[in-house]
Amino acid sequence: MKKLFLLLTVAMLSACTSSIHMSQVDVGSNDANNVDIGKVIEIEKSQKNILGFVYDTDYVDLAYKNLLLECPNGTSMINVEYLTNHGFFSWTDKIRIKAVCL
Amino acid sequence: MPIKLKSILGLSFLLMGGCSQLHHVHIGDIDQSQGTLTPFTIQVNELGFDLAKTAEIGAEVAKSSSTSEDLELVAFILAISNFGPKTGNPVYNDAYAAKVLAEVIKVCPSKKLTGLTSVREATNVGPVSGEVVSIKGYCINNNQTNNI
Repeated sequence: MKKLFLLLTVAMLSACTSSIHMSQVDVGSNDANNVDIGKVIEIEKSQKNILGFVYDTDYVDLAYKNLLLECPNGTSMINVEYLTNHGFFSWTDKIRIKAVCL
Repeated sequence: MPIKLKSILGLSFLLMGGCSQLHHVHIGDIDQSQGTLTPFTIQVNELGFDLAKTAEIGAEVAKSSSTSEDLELVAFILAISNFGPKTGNPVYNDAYAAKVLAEVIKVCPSKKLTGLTSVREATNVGPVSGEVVSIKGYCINNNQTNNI
């Protein structure tokens, strides 16, 4: 009974850990780097990774294509975040893009 | 007495062993030709905690063998439940860096930015750490003289 309680506690505590590997902000190299605060868009794409095996390896390309579609005139400022959500013998890699469209 | 000395030594190492670790840095374009530059820093952080490592340490220092075995089992379950690549210690909130873009926009009223440097680092104290994302940069003021 004690061990079962311990296992349940561990299972509850172990859920939902994450790790942010990188978060970078950049502005365009236009004349005055003037950030015109227009539409801010958010894109998130992910890939499920089970014991190192993945199929959807184009998630970053998809995020980039979405960015081009949502900001057809380009971006004046961009924040790219790359993180991992951990799981049971598996994990989910995610890319989150926030951008200020021109 | 030797055990006490060992405990004091262990505790001292834990407290004094805190160190910073750089994981990633990115430096953007720097433009010094548009006016005076005012530096700014935005920092967000979250508590990182390696529960599996803590359980392993607990198993090492446990006095009874049954407790040690239980803690080893706990460490194993935690390790397999939190599978995946890690930068620093795991955190329980994956959105702690979500507001950096809004903060950068807010901190510079002229909306002219340059020299943005993004840093991902951590301050470690044993299995506990402060996982940090910081953005440093310069806000370009409207006059034309340079002053970094």
